[in-house]
Amino acid sequence: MAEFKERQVFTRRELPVLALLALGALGLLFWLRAVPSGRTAVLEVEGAEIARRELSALSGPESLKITGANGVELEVEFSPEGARVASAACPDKTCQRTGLLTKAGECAVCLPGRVVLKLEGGDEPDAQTY
Amino acid sequence: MPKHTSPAGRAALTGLLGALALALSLVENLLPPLPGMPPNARLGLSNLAAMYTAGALGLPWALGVAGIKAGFGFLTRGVTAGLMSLSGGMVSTFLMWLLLKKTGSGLALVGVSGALGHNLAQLMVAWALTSQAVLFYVPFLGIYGILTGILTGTVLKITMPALERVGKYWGRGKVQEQEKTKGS
Repeated sequence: MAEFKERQVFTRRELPVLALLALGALGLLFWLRAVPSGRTAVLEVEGAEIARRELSALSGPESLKITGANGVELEVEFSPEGARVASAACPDKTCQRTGLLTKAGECAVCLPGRVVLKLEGGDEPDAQTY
Repeated sequence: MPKHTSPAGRAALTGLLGALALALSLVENLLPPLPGMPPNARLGLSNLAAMYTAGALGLPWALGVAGIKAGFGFLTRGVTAGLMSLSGGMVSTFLMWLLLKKTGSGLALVGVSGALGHNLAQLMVAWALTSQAVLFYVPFLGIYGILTGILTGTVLKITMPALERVGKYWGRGKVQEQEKTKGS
């Protein structure tokens, strides 16, 4: 076995493993392109559903203010195009930076507030059953 | 690998590498998020420090580096961020140590296993904290982990001579004599 500091980046027998990983990654990427757009936006706090909107039934943007766990306040916006977290009162703002969700299965997650905003349902409603 | 004789030297080196991990994570936080990737996805450059520590000093010290990083996250960004950092750091450090010490794996594969372990552990914690919806990120984190892991392994190979100099200096304090005999 090679000393730590003499290790190469790749060894010859690892090349098939890495090639396989890269192929798997590419396959996943193509599979993701085929994901249908989402129809229903679901808002969860600590795993429990607190709001649900049929996006196509909305005539314009609808704003909803909620308070998640640990007192984290979020403003969620639903519109016919999709759903997003418009503002978040936490330092990371990861959920806000996720941007507009449009595809089925996409989600914006606020970990400090234990909030999940996700889209469900594409052309086939059953396709999103896990 | 330097033969470190004093525990104090190892502890000092671990502290330095922990500081390096913090500095690297600060730098990579300045980079803009990649389009199409989860907004909190990072290059994982700070894994370099844990990877080097696992190879040069061993598992307990490497876990110490991960602990320093998690502790800093806990103090500056709160309990949730600290928990995420701790889970990711511990799992990835253990996997990298396993591959470095128990197999002859190349550094790219070590980096990939560290990145995938990091992502997987964090995803499990996120799942536990919220709901199954987070599993949507599995393919993204998989692809991203493979790419960044290969990058980290390559960068470690490139920066190894510099890290070795630091390691020798703090481990034995004989670096000048050695450099003289090498004629460099």
